[in-house]
Amino acid sequence: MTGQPGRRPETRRRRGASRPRRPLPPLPPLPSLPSLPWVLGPLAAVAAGLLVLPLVGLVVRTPWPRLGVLLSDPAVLAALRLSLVASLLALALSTVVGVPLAWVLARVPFPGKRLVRALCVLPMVLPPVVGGVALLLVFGRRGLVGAPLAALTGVTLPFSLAGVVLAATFVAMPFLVVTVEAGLRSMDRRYEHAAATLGASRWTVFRRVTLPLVGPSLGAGMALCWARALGEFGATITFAGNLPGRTQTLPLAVYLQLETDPDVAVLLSLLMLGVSVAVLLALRDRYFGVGAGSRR
Amino acid sequence: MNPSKARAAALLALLSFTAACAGWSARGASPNGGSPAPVVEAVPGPASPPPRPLNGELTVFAAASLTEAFAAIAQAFSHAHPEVDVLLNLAGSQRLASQVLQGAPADVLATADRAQLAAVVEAGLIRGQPQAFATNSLQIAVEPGNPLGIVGLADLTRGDIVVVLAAPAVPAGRYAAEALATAGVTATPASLETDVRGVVAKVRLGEADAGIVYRSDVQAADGDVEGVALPAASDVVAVYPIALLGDAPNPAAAEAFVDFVTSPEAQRILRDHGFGPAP
Amino acid sequence: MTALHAAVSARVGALQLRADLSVADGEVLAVLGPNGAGKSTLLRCLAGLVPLESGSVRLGERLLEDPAAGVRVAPEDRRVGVVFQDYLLFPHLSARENVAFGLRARGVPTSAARAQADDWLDRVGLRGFASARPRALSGGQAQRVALARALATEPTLLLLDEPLAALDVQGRQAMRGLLRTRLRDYAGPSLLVTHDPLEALALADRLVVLEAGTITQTGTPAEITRRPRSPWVARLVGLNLYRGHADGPAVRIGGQTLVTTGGAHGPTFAVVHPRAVALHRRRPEGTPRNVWLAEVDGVDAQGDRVRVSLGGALPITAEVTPAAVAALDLGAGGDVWVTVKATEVETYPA
Repeated sequence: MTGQPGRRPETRRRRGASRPRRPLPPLPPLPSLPSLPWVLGPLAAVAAGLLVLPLVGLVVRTPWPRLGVLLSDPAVLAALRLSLVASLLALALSTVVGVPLAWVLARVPFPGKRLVRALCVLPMVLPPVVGGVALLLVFGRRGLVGAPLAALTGVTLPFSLAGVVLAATFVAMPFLVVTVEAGLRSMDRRYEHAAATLGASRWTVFRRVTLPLVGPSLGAGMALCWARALGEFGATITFAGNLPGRTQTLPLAVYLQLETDPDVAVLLSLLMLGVSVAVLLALRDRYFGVGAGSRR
Repeated sequence: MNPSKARAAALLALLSFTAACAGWSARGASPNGGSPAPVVEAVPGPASPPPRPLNGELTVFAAASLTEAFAAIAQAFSHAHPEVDVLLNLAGSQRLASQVLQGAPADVLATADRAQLAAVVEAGLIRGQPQAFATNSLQIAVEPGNPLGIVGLADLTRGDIVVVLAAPAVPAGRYAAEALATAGVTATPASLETDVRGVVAKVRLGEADAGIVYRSDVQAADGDVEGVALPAASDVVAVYPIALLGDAPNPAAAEAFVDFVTSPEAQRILRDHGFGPAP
Repeated sequence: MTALHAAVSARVGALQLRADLSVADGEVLAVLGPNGAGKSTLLRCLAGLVPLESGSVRLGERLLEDPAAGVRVAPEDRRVGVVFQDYLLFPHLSARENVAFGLRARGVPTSAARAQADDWLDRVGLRGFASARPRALSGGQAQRVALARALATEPTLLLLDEPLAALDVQGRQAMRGLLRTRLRDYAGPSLLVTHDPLEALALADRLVVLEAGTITQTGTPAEITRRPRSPWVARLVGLNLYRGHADGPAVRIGGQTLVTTGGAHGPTFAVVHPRAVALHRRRPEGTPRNVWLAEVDGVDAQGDRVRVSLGGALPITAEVTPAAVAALDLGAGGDVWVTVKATEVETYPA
């Protein structure tokens, strides 16, 4: 019953034999609703157009001949490198502190948990600039935490890479927390019980059973977190400032280049579009729909 | 309509839409993006034509440093012409120029330097000639009380000072670079803001210790920042030009506004806000 | 040596569990009961997954739990092996890794753990399946891996939760054999929880019946099947059970009296095997001391035997041949005369 690779001899093809031509498979049928099928079509087309056309425009208007030159421009490379470094650091920070937070929210009962969870998720819906202002008030030189921090250690967060990472973490970490918490809630906790009866300490259970079982959720959460961190703009420019090579990430560079050299802005936008598409493709099976349930 | 016909209709709609938009965009960033304005023949000049009842919306793009001054000027203009609704779009001059170049509809453009306006002139979007209507000088904005004792541009190189400047594409940033070059000072800014008011904000918030801004900005900050004047040798005279846009939706009101800005009343308002006279 | 002595008092949801039991070294105790009786809860209490309200759990000399004394040993320190009803094999690990899990958790080096795991898989008849993932295994194979996984850590107590429930008939037969062997080889106490009397009878040395959180009966399988003490058990083993008051040979059950050959006095159980019940359409002559009129409630054919449930003053189930059903035309319902010999009524104190 088990262990046999599924090979059916009758479908093996001999080399050289031509396959009989089969007619193209029919297009999948549109779902039919009782009253308005023919109105839905054009409306859906408009929606699709709205979403797809800007991306098409970006690709169509890319200055392809200038691509090589632009890609070797040190300012462009600096922004790209900075964006990658900052977003990956934000991802690392988000994972290290976000997974424990997700675990606490999913498993530990405490009073006021719903409020705490709502607050933790708030940065997801907060306008990023508002987030930047809030970060200034807390972590700025005169901030609640920033002032004593500067006094004690001389470290200031605005205008530094640390500031960029903090701004990105603030807006991106909730994505990871929410996804991992959902994964922890939906996993079968009896596996953890089984592991305990086998003698695994709580840390071993977490490491060898819980984490692997929420692996898919963790992966999806990390991908979303990274993509969000990479694209962060409002909080970054407000809190971390704008300095090429130091705090000017790709989104900031796009914003500013639009005023001086729109071609470069388009190119940088295309770079970011490429990264976003790559993230979506990597997530398509696990998170977003077709086949989301089938691959476990 | 049966499902396959609905499907075909949807695909056709999407394809037509795409083709139309592609064709539209293939024409390039056309300055004639908006509907053509009613053509009003009027010759701008010092001898203004007899006042006629003006109405409609008037869109004025003005440099960020003109925020308070132009708000007052717009209010005064509205007194004289109650039927005109003045809309101010305030941003860094480079942003405004870029917007106009990409087809944003505006009646009047006032920038903080000639260079930004030149780009728009070169694209043939200006009607007539730009006029200089004000000047400005630079100051170093510091915390009220100047606790760090900043007295000149040379202090900006001090290690304990966090300096913020406007980005090089912003007129204030260019002027600042000029002033620093003249004084022989190399400052390392911690951030390059997208307009001069961003610099003021950083100093005001205490995130930066010093920033190079206009004198009018210090005045507008109303005590939240203190200004350290530059010696005349290294100071820069910023010249503010104003121009009518060729595609102005409301050319009559636009002309009247430009005339008003160069009139004694508006000039006094500008003086009150810390600007210098037109060159 | 490491006998289990447990006095469990716990509450889960609406169920209040109170059970005292002991299992000797090498003994297999089956806890038999209907669904919802608290069997799984009992098992989880012993494993340390559900805290006790009161009572104690002692394994040999080790006190595992005693709320009154503030003692509660965590599950990972109890050295209790559990075979779960749904196997609960870690889906992301191979069979070998599953079996090695407990060993590695206790610090056995990886290669040694894997070697021991392979050895155990061999012992449960799964040589060659070491690299397979749980989703590639059949129910029976997964159950074997679960058993190997529990036994590999050499636990001091073995708990099995409905080990045969999820298998089909053939799988059950095969597994029963394996379990019997492995349980025999296992030196410590084993506790097996099930709702299937066959499972209990086949594997257990002793039985405990748990109903609604309380133990209603203990004894060997033979004792329990011969002398049930609760309707559920009686139904399970297919006997007619009555509870009444004995006065010498007469047992008063409700308003009826059954004549027996016993001589006890006091509260008593009386059982009658369905095959000892004879049915007649006309009132019979002869020796049976117990004769009464009953109504045919239902006729249930079960292969070559037919169970006839009869209602009336003293409900009873009779087992007759299909021929008898035809001859008496029992399918038409109506009244029949029921006779039971006094010698066929077994009584024992309640």
